[in-house]
Amino acid sequence: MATNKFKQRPTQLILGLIVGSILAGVLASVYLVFVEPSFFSSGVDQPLPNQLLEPDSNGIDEHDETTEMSRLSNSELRDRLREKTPYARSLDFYAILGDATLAQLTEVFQTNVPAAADDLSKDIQAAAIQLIAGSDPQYAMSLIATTSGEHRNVQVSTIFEEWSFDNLEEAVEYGMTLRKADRLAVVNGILNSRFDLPFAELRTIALRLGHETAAVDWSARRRLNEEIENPPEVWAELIAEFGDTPDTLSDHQINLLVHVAETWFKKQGAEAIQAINRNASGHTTNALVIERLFDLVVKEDPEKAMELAREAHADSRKILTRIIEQWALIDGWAAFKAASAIKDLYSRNPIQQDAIRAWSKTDPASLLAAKDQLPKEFQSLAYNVAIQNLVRLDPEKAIVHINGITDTHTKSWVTQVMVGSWAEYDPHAALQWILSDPSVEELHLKPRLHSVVLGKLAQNDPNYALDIALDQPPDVRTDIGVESVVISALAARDVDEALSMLAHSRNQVTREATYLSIGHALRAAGRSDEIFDLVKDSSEEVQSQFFNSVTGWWGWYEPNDLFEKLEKFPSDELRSEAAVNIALSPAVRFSLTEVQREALKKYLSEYYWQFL
Amino acid sequence: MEKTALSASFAVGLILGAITICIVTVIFLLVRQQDGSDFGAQFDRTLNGTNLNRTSDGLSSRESAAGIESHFMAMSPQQRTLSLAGFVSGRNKRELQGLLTTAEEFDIQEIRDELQDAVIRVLAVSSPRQVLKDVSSLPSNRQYSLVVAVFQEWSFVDLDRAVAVAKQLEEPLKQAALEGILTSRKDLEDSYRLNLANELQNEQMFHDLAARDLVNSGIDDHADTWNQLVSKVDGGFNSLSAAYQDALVSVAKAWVSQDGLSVITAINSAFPERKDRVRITQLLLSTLVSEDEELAGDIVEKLRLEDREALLQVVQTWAQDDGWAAYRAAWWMDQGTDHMRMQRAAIEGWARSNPLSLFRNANELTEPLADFSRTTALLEMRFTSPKSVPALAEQIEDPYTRNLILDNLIVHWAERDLTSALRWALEQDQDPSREIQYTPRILPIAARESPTQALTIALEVPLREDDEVGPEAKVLAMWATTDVDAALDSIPQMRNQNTRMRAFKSIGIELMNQQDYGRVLALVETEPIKDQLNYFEAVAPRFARENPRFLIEMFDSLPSESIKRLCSEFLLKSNSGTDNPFLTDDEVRKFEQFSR
Repeated sequence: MATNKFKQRPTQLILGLIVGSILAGVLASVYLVFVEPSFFSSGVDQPLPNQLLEPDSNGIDEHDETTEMSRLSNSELRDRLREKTPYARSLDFYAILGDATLAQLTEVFQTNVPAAADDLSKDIQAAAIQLIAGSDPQYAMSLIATTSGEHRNVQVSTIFEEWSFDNLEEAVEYGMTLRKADRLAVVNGILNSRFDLPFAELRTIALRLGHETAAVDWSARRRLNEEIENPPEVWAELIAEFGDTPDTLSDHQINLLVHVAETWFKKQGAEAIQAINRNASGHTTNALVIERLFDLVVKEDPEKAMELAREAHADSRKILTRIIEQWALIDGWAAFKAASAIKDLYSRNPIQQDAIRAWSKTDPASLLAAKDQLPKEFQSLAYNVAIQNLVRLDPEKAIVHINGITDTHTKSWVTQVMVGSWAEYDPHAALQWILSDPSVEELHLKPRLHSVVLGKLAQNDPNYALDIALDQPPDVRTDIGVESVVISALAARDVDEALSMLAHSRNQVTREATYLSIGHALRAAGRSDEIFDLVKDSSEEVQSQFFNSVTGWWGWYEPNDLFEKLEKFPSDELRSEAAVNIALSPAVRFSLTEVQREALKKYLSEYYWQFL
Repeated sequence: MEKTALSASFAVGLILGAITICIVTVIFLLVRQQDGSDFGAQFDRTLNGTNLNRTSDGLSSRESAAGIESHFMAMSPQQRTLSLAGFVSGRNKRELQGLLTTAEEFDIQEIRDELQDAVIRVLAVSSPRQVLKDVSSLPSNRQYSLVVAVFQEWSFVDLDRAVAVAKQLEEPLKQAALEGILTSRKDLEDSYRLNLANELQNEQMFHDLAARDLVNSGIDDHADTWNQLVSKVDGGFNSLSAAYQDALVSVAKAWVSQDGLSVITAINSAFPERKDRVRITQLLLSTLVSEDEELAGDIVEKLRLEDREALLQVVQTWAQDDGWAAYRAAWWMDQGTDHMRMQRAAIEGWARSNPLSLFRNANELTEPLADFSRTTALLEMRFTSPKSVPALAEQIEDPYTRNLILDNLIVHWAERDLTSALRWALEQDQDPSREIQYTPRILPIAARESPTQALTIALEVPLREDDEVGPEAKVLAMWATTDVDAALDSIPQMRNQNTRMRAFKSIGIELMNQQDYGRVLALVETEPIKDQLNYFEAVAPRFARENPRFLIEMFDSLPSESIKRLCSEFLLKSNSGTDNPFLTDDEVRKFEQFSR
């Protein structure tokens, strides 16, 4: 019946066929033109070819290479190159410069001295110097005599790529006459070009040029790209070659070892880790590689990393910590739960703590929200680190949280935690909050928080910190002004400025409160003579306390210096105390000569002689 | 009915027409995919123009991989670039894709990489999506640089589409795409390129590449380059990306090498913070020490004069990166000066970052520093790997130093690994010649974990010789901080009266912490009066300071005259030492009578 109907209505069928074809054709064209234009791009209208094919406007035959360079001015050359794609441009350099004379190349090189943000000049120079190096490398070197820095390194390397290909021995001999920084570029050039030579030969050349490590790294980098068919065998070879101590390995060597281990792991799973882990105790190459390997696995699948660590008996605390810490950066709760499932008591608790710390770094708000669900022994830590990091990432949110705390005791310590952290990276903002927020006053925290923030502020903006400090009342009990904190903090960074600020202190007790910090700073600066001047106007009691304190670190760090100053101390008791500090210094046996140590005995009771 | 039949015929025609065109289109696409004979014709013609084919004459893409490889191996880098371009020109898409596979068989990876790079760049202009698929089939560690190449070419001819596809890539290939776009499209305004970097969520790459370009630009005005780089910095040196730091140090090095020491002041003025100065100096010295010893020496001397502490920190920071290199530099800095000050700093820095490495290498260091290195390393290891310290400490010959290390070790060890520390401590304490026992020192830590177990262990440890107090008192002290009643219940287990009273004192102090003053007073009421007096000597001073009113109220019920006298003294002392005296005149008189 239906067929009959179509027979009866052929016009409708044909009309349908035409409309359908047109619609489908339009859709196909839209796809090909707009979605996959590359199907139409092979013809003469393709953009890149047009750029490459553009005939010269003057219609000169472009096959006539001998005239190519001479008929182009530098600006024409640049115009011609500017519109090319990177690859087409690099080829065009050779097209244009390929048959230029040395004089022409020299002119091109010298005309195209790079100016700021001018990559074209740099590229033209690079092509020119490569071509010059191909015919006269020594002349090429003379052309770059005045260049310096990274640009010079690249040019030297380019010249020696060509030179070492033409005449290796001559290139090496010449390279050895250059300064050490240039010789590294020479080695790089030779390695880039002469990969046809056995590695032993290349290594010897690098050694002659004083950069053997560059060859070792180059080899490791190349091997990174080689296919590893038998990872255990390659692993054993590399360990034999590189040694078992990671201290001597370069980054490239470590990367290679990790790559081999990773390939091994992909082929054999936990068995590979187990095999590497057999020699992974302590400070060994294997231990280092195992750590790096787990770093890779944990990025893909932290849960699997934990399972693997257990399965391969590589679940040392160090490895587990690395896994959990990285996991916590992605998913704090999951990481904490995984840490809580660790059976080994020794590892579990500290790793749980590490999980919380890592969690707080990326998502303190969620940690804060989850705090009460954590076991009780971790709640305080979680609260601390969450607040510290919340104020770093979102101070407003941290303040809102603090304002919501009703318990005074909790509010007090959380406020201190927040301000301590805030002051670390934005002391100005922290100070403004302290000065303006009424709760700080209510909690009686102002003096304490001022000390924290002004101490930090003293590092960046000491004068402002001093002004603010001088506006604050002194301590009721001791009468010491908070400027002592500013001056003490500043002393560690700039002892002269700290000394000059002493004159601005409000009273003698405030000045004396800073003396210990200034004393340490003077000692560290090698100006210990001035330590004695510091307290010359102070009472005997203050002097005694000061010297007893300052000689502790002085003797520890500078036993020789303190020994030389012993006679300057105002009393025998202080001399004797200072001498004890010298005797107890771990450096006494190599900082003082035997004669000096013998001389020291007269200040010491016999008990201390054993330490000399 | 008529209308329906008409519609049906039209619909069938429509469908048939659409199907036919679809089939034709698919066949067309397949033929194009297979053929591609015109593909690359433009390269052919272009390269004819540049005569790039000449060096590849006679070399066919059907040549064996070994044949192609050996052909290119015999060329200088410059010749090879030309020859490769000639070789890939005039190939159709299928042939070029075939070359990607052929290159995989090469033994020489440099030639493989160069050929693949050339092929990829040619394909990237006409079939960028396809070439990205081709790249994805190559080993992952080589994809990055090829994706950079694809986007360098593609973004030059079709930036919008390149960016759109780049956005869909996963890291790190997304980063590679951005690198390709930014390095290729330097013709665009910086703000536009920065915006592109933003769109691809990697603004830092824009800044890093800009810094690298500036450094590599070949401009020899290092001061200007430095100032340009510094002008874009907001914050300290240590807050910059590694790439930006490298760029700055590279310029600083070239600058100081060219213009000498005077430059250092200018460099430091850009980063006045000491920690920045320390890091820059360390990075400068790390290469200059071997390249230009005289200049490096001048830098060291200048810093020594201006900020001796900063020089120490240079070595310490360096040691955290590379202990050996820092030590060697420190040895060089110490020549003729300072009593090994710098070497010591290097050792301390090394110990902080990798104490085991320092310990292992101690023998290689200058003789007087070897022992110091071992001790410093082991003292540091008590924090990081306490379990390994006892065995390593055996290598320390000097018994005083060895004991110093172990004494310092035990508490830290117990904090990290109580079971092992306790086992080791009990074992060591078997030795009767040891004057100081380890176990009692860590029992409080054990009590924190498991008080009953700690008490059991404590009861096995001998009493202290001087006062005959057992370590179980310390266990109870710790236990009381979490459960006073449980601690009190264990009092009968104390081995003698001295230990018992020591435990009472600790519990009393804990009760005071909990402000349970009534129990503080009642705690020892059944003990001998002499012991009660000792107990009050320990708790009364604090009682008198913290809650004198309660003590005054309870004064008459105190158990003996001597205890009353004792408390009177403390009350009077406390009253005179405060800004707000709490005793009335009558009370003062009353307590003065007792204290006489």
